[in-house]
Amino acid sequence: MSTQNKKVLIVEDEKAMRQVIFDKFEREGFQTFQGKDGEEGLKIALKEHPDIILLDIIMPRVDGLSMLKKLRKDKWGKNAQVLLLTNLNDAEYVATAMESGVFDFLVKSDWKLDDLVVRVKEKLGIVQK
Amino acid sequence: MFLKYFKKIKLNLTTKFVVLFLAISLVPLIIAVYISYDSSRKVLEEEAAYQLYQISDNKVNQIDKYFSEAKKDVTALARMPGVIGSVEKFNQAFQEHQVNSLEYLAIDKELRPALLYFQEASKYDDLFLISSEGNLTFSTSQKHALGTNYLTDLKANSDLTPILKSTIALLETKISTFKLIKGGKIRAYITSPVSNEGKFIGVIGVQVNNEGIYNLTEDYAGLGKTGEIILVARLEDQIIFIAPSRYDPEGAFKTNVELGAHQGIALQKAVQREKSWGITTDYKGEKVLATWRYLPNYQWGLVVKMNADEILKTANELKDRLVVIGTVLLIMIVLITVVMARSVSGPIKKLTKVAATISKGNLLARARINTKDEIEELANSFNQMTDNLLKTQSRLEDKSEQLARNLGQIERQNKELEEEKNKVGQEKDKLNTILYGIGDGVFVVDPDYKIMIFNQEAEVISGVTSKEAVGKRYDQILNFISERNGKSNGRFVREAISSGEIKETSFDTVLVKKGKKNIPVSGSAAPLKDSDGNVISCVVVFRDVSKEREIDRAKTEFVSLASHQLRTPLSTVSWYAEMLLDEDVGKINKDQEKYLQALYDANHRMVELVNALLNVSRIELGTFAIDPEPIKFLEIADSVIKEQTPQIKEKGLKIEKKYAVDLPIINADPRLLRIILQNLISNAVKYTPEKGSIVIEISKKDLDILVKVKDTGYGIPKTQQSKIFNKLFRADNILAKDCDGTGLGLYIVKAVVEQSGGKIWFESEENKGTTFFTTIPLIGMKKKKGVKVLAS
Repeated sequence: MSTQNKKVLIVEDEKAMRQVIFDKFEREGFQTFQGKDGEEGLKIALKEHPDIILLDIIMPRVDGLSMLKKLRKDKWGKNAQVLLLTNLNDAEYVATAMESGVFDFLVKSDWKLDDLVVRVKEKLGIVQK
Repeated sequence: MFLKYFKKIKLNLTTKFVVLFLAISLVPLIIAVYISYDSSRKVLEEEAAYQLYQISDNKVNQIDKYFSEAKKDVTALARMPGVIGSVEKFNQAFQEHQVNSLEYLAIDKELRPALLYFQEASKYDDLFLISSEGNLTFSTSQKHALGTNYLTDLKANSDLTPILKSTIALLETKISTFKLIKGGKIRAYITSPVSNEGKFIGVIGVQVNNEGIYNLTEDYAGLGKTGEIILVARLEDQIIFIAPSRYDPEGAFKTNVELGAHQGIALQKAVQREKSWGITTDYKGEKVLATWRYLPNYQWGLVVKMNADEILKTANELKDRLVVIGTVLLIMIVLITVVMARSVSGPIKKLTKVAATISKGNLLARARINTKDEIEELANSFNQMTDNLLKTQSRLEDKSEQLARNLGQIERQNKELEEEKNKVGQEKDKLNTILYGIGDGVFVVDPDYKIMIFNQEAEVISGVTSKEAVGKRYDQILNFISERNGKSNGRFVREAISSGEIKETSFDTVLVKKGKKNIPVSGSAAPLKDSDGNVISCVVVFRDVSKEREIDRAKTEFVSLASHQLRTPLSTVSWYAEMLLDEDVGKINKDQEKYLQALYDANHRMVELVNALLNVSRIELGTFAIDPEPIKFLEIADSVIKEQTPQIKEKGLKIEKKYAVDLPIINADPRLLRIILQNLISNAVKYTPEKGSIVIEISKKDLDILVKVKDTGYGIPKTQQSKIFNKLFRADNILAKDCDGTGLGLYIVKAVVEQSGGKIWFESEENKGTTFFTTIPLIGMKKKKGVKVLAS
């Protein structure tokens, strides 16, 4: 399976971080979108219906969890695949995320970028686990 | 009874002895004397009585003899021819003539002188002749009665008539009874038949008196000086002496005693026909021994008596002698007793005197007693005792001197102590002033945790007054709890007392203040020890750290936030470096790769540092969670070791794993376990020089899993070992070795281990190596709710 027709949405307030993930996924051949916060992210998600949303939690204006809640209210968004990107092993957040149907999360600083790509590919069924 | 009384009265020994000896000796003496006196008196009395009886018998015989002689005399007279002739002649004259006739007178004139001679020779009162018919034919003194027929005229002479009849009838000489007659005389008649040639012709009679027996009673042979023989006759109720008494020669017929009188008892008894003897009172009222009897022939009473005194003279002499002897004996007894008592009491007195002298304090006094008896032994014992006393005293004196010296010393010490006390008092006042004025809460507890001192600031902080606090257990007054879990945090005081070391409150301690917000406090408990190292009290200093805690919290939160904020750019750097190193954006040369790798590594260390900082802040905020699940201990250990492999290989370290085979699966938070093992193993790797060796031993010990990480590393300097778990501490020798490290690892590990219910400690020697020991309880880690997990 190819990454060519797979859409990845990156919602991250840190531009540099957002950029490095964007660059990596572009290079991997994904059709990549980016949003600088929850509000923008939600708009793009509802418009593009990405195959996976990489969602940062702590963001200005609308944070990741608020966006997630709104997303889950959408017909499509209800079942959208979301990978939570965190900096903290915040149980609180994780618990809330789980309630919102997020089954996976990832601590950015603990992971290599390659590992993130592998994880996304696994989730999208491009590579086998 | 007597003895009892005797014991009670207070007498000296001599007196007691005398009284006792007298009692003992006098009573028998008196009894003996009495008995001997009494028996001798009785003997004397009996003897005297016997003698008196004999005399009495003798007198009776003599009287009888006298009267029988008188009878014989009259009988003899009756046989005389002159008398016979006289009787015939007077009979004839009487019968033929009247008594007044001349013939009669002629005969009378012829015969009278001869008859008168007979009469006077025998001291008869009368001599008379009676005819065979009973007519008085002649009388020497009773001329007027001539012619009286005494056989027929019964009234003429009642005494004479009976014997006259007997004499005529029996032709025997008879004697009449005696009769008192007027003039106080006694009169009796003796008649004897006169016969001429065998033919009874008449009777010759004489009237006798008692004068003939006077001689008998005047014979006092055998009667001593006081003896008397008394003959009495009874005239109706009168008892009349018929012979003179010894004391009254003229007393015959004059001395009377009346029947029933209190005197002359013997006389009374005699005339009452008794015969006996006894001590009685005589007619003079004197005490006499008398025998008495009745003489029926004469109707007389005979009493022979002697004064009792005379009879008992011997007895009385004996009595006197006995009294004298008794007195002498008494004096002798008294003297002997006194001497004896003195011989006993003398030494005792001497001993007493010596004892008194000794008791007055002269211990050199000794009792010198040579009695060769128990008293001497007593004295010797006493002297021995005194010697001992002297010795004891000298010892005591030594002791008391010593005591006095000690006392002096004690006094000096007391003075010093007093001064010290004053100083201490002043110091104490100062201290109290300081203590009360000090800005921190201070209280002092005794080893039983009871509050002794409670200063002003402590009152302010706790809201408890000193009055309420003092004397009570500190944990009843001050409730120190953990801010995070509400459990008691007051044990630091107990620990300080039991361990003897200074203990501090844990960082999250708050003091519960009733009705108000809990006050964050920080404190320490410092045990005070005596010279033997025993904890005598514990000074607890605590203060309100609300502001500090606030600042600290703000700081920690800041660190947390900062760390968090740092992670995103760090991840970005890391990931760009990764992309470059992966040659995602084109080929790189060797130098570029080297520099990029250095950049990547430095960034990675930065990530680790930030993670550690975050963990520290979470530990300090108490917000991290412990979430135990069944884990395989050894797998986690292996995975941690595996992570370290590049560094291990680089330094050429030898890793030895000593895993126990029987380790059970336990409940533990894998993330925390990983943090623990990661830090310990990475430290060992980091601080062990190349070619060193590391032993990782995991075993079951008692109720724990024991993790032992032993290295041959640089070790921890002794002086810094106590600080090894302090935050951001790094040992001097490590800093010199240019090793990477945050100084947070062991701080985090200790916090995690202790929060998990385990323990951590170490042994280390500089340049030899360090061994860290950690235990995780077999029952597993305690679950702890928290909002954050620790970053690994």
